[in-house]
Amino acid sequence: MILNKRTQRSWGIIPDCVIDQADLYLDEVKEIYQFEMQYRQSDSSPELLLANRSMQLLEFLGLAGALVHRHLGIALFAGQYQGSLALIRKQMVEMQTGEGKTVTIALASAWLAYSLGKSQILTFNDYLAGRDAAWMAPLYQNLGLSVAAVHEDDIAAKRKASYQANIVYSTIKTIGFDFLRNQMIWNLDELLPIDFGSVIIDEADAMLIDEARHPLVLAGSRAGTPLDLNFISDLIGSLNKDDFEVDERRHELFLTDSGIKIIQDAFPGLDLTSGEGFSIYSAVQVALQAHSLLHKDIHYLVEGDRVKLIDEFTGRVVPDRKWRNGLQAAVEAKEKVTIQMDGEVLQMISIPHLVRKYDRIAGTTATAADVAEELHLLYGVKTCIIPTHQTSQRIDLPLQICLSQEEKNGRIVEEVRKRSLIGQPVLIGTLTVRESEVLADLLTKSDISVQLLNANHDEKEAKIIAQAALPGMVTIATNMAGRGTDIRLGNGDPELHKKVSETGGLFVLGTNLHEARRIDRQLRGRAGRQGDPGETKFIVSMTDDLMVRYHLKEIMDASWLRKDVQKMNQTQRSHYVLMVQKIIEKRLEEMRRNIAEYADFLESQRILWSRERHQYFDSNCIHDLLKMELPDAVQEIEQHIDALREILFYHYDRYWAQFLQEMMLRRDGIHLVRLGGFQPLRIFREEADIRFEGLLESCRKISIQDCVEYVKTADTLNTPHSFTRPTSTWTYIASDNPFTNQLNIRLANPGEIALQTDVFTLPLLFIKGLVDRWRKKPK
Amino acid sequence: MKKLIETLKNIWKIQELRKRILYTLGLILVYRFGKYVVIPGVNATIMQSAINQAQGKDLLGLINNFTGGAFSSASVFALGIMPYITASIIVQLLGFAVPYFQRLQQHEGESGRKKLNQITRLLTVAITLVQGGGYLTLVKNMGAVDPNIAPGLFWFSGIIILSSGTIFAMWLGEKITDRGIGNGISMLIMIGIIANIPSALLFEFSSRVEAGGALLFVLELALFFLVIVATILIVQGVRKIPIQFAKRMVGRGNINMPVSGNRDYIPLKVNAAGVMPIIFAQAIMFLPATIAGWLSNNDSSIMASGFMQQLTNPFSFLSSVFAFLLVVVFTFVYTALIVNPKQYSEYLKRQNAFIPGVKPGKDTADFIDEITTRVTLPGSIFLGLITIIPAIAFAFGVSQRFAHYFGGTSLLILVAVVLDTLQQIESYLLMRKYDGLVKSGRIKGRSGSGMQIGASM
Repeated sequence: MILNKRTQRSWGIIPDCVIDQADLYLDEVKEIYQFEMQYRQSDSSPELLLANRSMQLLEFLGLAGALVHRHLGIALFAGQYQGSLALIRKQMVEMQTGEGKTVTIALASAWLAYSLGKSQILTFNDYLAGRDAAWMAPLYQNLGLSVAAVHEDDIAAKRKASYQANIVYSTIKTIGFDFLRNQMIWNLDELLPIDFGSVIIDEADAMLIDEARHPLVLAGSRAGTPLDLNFISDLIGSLNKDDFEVDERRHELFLTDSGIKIIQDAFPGLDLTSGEGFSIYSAVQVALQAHSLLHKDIHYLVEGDRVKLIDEFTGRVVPDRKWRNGLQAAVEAKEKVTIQMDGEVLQMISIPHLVRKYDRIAGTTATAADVAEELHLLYGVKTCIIPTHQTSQRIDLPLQICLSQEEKNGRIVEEVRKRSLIGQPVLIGTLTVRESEVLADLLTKSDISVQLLNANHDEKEAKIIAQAALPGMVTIATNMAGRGTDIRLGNGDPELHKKVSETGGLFVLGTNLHEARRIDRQLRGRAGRQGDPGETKFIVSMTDDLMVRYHLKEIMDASWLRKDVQKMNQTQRSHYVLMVQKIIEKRLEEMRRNIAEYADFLESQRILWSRERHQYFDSNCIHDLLKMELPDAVQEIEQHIDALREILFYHYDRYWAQFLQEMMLRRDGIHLVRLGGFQPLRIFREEADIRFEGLLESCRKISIQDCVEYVKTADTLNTPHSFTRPTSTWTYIASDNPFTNQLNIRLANPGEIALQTDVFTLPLLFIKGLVDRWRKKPK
Repeated sequence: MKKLIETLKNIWKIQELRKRILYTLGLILVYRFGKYVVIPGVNATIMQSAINQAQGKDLLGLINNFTGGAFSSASVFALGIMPYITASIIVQLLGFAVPYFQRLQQHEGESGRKKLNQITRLLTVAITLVQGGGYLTLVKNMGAVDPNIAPGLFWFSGIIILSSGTIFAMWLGEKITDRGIGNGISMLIMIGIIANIPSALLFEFSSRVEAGGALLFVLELALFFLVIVATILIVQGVRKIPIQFAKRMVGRGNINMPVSGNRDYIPLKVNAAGVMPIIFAQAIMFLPATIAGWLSNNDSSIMASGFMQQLTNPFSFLSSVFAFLLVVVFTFVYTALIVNPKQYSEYLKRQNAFIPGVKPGKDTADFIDEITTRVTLPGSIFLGLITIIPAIAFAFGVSQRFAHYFGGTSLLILVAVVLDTLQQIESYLLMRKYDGLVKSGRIKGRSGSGMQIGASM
């Protein structure tokens, strides 16, 4: 049965937050085209045109379109105008790869900057920010708008100048860290003028949904633990497989009894559950994480004497990023490099909270529809789907599922050989650096020459991408060739384009399913650009990391239709594999919601704290603060005002860091209260409220005390430490529901007391209680 | 008192909270109204007098109590939301045995929960069909059915109406949870129980005043108040077992910072078993009489024997002693259902968490078990006392109608639901406080004209 759109909508199949009319804004687009044609012929300078009168939206876009045609040599499709209009109207725009997203965004932001004075564009990575800003510069300049890109490693002066431009290109992380730095400035000159007026976010689902589970954290250095980490690391390295247990689905990693015994033997006579023994045991646990959860060439690279983290989304090395809670030091000990300083959280904000500071939010991505509801919920934006300019000719072949890694590798080699023999270019998308290198080895041994793109070879990125769709080329890449990469058949050469097209276009081969079907589709989207032919296929195994981590086997065993895996056909196998993928999607969604609930409260507190801290930029506030204690020292206060301000800022920043530290620790353990029938979120808020007021009170008190002392003695205090570069972190999230069966938790909850009143089930519960009681007795 | 009024004013001022409270009250009213809508073809007066004859001294009286009297008045809500609760618990229990349910509970997160909810609802319908049949048989046996009505029509319409009544009540409960305040299902149960408090109070008052004992009435109220206070203390009583996580390596931080008191802990409740022991004990005590009733085919000689009389009369001495003992024993059994030391210790181990000074594994389980026993003992004794306070009050001359509220399940449920709802309101007020502060651009206790650097915060 085919349902029409209205029925689908009313049944909730198409959520309300998706705007799906293909002919959206078409009348307006027609008008824009008229203006475009008119301005294509006109000789008058656009700057003069704009200077003379204020232009209306449609005319402005027509003019911009004409300029794009003149200066960039691109003729705009209707879809691009539709996209621009949707962006201007604060919508999330779904546009496929190669449909000209960059220009679409540029048109919209030009109008926003023209009408509002400023607008921001956040791209997927630093490189794209620079590239797009340079590429679109002629358009902006002709419209009299200045443009700049802010890069992660720009120096302060350049940053400040860049933020003054009408249109700012950057990444969400750069903006976020700059925002957090703004919270800790000691001098108003250091304030970076970030404009939170309007923003357009490229690859919005990745930035706003996937990455949103990690908060942006500004950290400072402090001395690490005094323990001998190398000794502990070696000890952990000597453990056998059955000395510890890993359950990544539940985020569990722990020593078994035999493991605990080994540790106890290494530290004879020490009580590992309290005091010094406990800190040793904690170090052991962290070392265990470093050894069994984090792997070289998957999570990090070792370059020289440094451990460098790889971003799981972009596949790139991220400078200045560290793990927290001593994990970084444990990894450094494991890799036998110099152990660096420990990090300490100073400021933190979640991506949803950062993005919601903008008055106008809009974004683009090729895969928005799946997460339309979440985007609407978190950011209040509706999603609008722009049809492709030319019908896609891409062929998505069915999923192929192997039983073992050997079988999978064999099939991959076979498939690649078949394709490259006829000259079809192949792009292999892998998950990790290690996997990409293993595959490259394997293919080379089978006499297939490959080019490799991963964090180890990132300097050749542009060249590799340019060559990727040349006839017969085989490219193995990590996520670096995912989002934002535009692979043109034959690299723009019409003859090669034709040749490659005849072989079937680019063949994208995925070797792993991702954590969401959406991300798989991103990889698929590398093929079949702008109506070109292309093919995609995923060859995966039931023993892939993701499948093992999320217990595919257990799920299959628990199924009604239990059947021998060997005898299953591909459809049956993919039923289970896709089920696991769906489970992962749901779990991640739940996790994000959970994080948001806790983050909300802390964000309010952060705003209040910052507000109080920042008021001391006004000297009058410092005078007010000290009036009671030093009524006759107005002159002295004025004289020392800068030093006093520093004392205040020092304390406010220290206490805030302390508060964050405590709350992050508490957040990890709060789920235990559920055992007593309490609601963790409720208890967390109550405790956070009490602690916040307590720390604020002590902070005010000690600030006043120190200031008074300073004024009285004019003594030079120990100058506050300066802060080091920001880092972002890896967070360790504990589930809010400790036990998977909810019965005892629900029964313990006083709110659900009704469950206890049913005479019919009480005997059943009684029996269960008897059984539990009997089982508890030691045998 | 002034503070209370202030708080109430605050609650009223918050639009969302006001809306939620009014919404809840509205739905409760609908639920109460349903109690007076009688199933077509049933003579409610006959039914009522038949059940009242038993004076709540059997299982039916117990059920009647939880449906807020809808059971005895043959209302469309006669089955109450009990079938839904039965279904919820069965679905939870299935999770221990059936792999399919295990998977839904353990692996599928939100979508699994939705599916489980759906199954619970379907199961509810199935249960109402069975229970509805049973109920109609009971009504028929009591001779409360209008003889003019065709039997087929009576059964058909009766079952459908009862089933719909329960589903509607369930819907009301879910709506209250969703858009109102508190847990809807518990709220409806509580409302049914306390519905008669005003009339009982009035009855007590008028009979006291008639007898010239107004002072006695005041004394009674004071006693009532004390019992409530004690119940609140027990319901909220928690023993915190400190826990520390070995998941992080802490560097040499700032030593001169004030240390936080918010350590991680497992809360062990003094009264973890809730009302289950009391209800189950009461049900068990009705059992001999019910069985005897069946065996003797309503031969009044057994029923009239002193022992049976005593046992079925909750206000008698013998019954009180029995009830007390049963409740104490049952508390331990039901506590084992909720607090499972072995499971806790395994969980702590998997989370790398420790009780300071206690070895992981068996030692931890034993330690938790010991503490549980230690806090459960006083809890169970108190629960036993609560059970028999109505009888004691009765012995001191309080009327049966009013004495009923002095303890037992009614009081415990009332206290638990009210406390939970208040906590939820408090949580709203807290969120609201911060929202207000953030918006007002001012921080508590400081009136200085703060310098704003605009959006940079």
